[in-house]
Amino acid sequence: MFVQYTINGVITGLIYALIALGFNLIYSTTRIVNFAQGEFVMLGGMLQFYFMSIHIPLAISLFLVSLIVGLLGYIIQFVFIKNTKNPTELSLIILTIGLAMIIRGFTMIIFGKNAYPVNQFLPFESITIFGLTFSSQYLVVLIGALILAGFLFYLLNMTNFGKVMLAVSQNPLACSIFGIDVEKVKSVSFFLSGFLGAVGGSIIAPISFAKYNIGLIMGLKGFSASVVGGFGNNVGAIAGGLIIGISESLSAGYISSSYKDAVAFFIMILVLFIKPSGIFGSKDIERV
Amino acid sequence: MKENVASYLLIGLFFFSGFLIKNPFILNMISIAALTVIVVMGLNLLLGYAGQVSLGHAGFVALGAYLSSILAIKFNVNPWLSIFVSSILTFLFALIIGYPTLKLKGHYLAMATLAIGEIIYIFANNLVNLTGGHQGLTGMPMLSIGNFVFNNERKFFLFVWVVVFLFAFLSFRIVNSHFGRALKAIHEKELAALSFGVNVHLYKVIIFSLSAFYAALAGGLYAFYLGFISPSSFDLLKSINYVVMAFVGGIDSIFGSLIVTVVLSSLPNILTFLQDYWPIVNGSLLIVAAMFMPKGLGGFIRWKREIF
Repeated sequence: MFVQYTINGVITGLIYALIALGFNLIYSTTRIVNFAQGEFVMLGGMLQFYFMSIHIPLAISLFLVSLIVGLLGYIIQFVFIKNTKNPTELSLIILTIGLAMIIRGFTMIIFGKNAYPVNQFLPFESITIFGLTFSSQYLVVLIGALILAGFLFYLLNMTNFGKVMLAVSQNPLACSIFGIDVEKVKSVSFFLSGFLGAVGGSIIAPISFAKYNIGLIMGLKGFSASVVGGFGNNVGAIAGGLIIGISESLSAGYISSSYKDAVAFFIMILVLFIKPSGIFGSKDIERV
Repeated sequence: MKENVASYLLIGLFFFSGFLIKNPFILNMISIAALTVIVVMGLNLLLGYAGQVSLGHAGFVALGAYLSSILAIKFNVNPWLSIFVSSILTFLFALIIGYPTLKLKGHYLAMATLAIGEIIYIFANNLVNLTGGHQGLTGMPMLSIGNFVFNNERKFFLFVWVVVFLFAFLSFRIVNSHFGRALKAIHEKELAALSFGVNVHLYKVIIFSLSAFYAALAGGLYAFYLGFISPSSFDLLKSINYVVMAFVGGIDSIFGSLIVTVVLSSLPNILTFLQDYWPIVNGSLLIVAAMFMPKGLGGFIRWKREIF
């Protein structure tokens, strides 16, 4: 059973890692913690359900889902955050919470309060390895998350755009003097973050159902993952996601599934108590 | 007019309306609104004077409600004493949570309190032996002073507005004290406050714990007034509602929050057909306030200021 639980944990952990990477992406360029991050994941699942229910082919629906949610991210930065009169840390937290509430509210009104099952992406139901049987969707999540993470690392570390993003995170004023459109870079990082969240939500939906109210909790778990690994640290985000995912799954298996959610939050609070910079270190921890 | 005088007058107005309103439904609604005012006033201290936000205040309200009910039901503690003890315990709990988190940037407290609120909610749902689970907890004795029992809506209504007055008084005392001015300085320019010898971290921790104390006390009164509590009264959306009221009312305006809280906590009971749309209404209010009026509605009122 232990192996089974661990593998379940790795799969959900990868999704938390994607959310955590989304937090990092936005935070690195804008210094904003986006409380609507979890709503991207929720929307990914809901839209995936909707497109599949009207029989749009998988590849196209996945593309549409990520594009729509990515654009939503872009709009959040370009319309709302950019035009905020007095962008303090507090008002931006409040703003993104407001956006999360609106996304959640509209989703509930359009799709209702039900939890929707989403079909598996692959044509076969399950796979058997070493006598253990898993849903075939596990394969999709594993490969999907690895591709996304790989793409992100390539983008950030090996392309010109990655360097621009790094520069903007270091000194936005200097960047704008050098002719970089800082607002655009910020908007693109929001787009990428929405994209990541949407794909994560869409590929996990066949395993965990799509429902309108999972956003804030998913966001919080992604944040927990990020804190455990070291906020702002991309390697840490993946490690943190796996740690949260596996401990959640083990506690659900061996203790009780009712306390599953509490475990992730408990770990985060513990890390904030003991080592707020996380396992891999964070640049964000400036002590008062 | 000074803000504190205006606020006391408004609270007095509500108090005396208790003699005129005949409808028990409305009395009950405004009593619950008054309890919400207490929570929001606490949150205002945190928002306006520490510049931080808690997304788990419903959790502190729940702690106050459940701890006091359990003390009174299972251990036969006097209701007043149990409310007081549970509020102190919540204060200490917030102290422990706030101490490490408030050393960090604002979003850590927001996320940590979100987590705390969820953890408390999960425990309230699952510790069935203690809390009754999702079916709720009942059997709290009625509040009474000597032979005088708060056994109808009107008596509680009048009582709860007296409590609101006491908390408003406490808030204004805090705001206009050395402590309050130091907090104001922290919010304006943290580094400057630090170099004037203000112990920024300690002050933030105290104000956070104090706001949890407000919430817990309101929770305790809520439990003994209704005689029934269940986890659904303390979920995540409730915490967000408190933030909406405090922020839209004005982060450092007790008067503004007082009005906004009474309106926003009463409206859903009147406009019941809009029930499903409240998250959207709340979200829009937050967005408009955050984008265009960072001081909330209270920021538009020019109070006469005392020069200390």
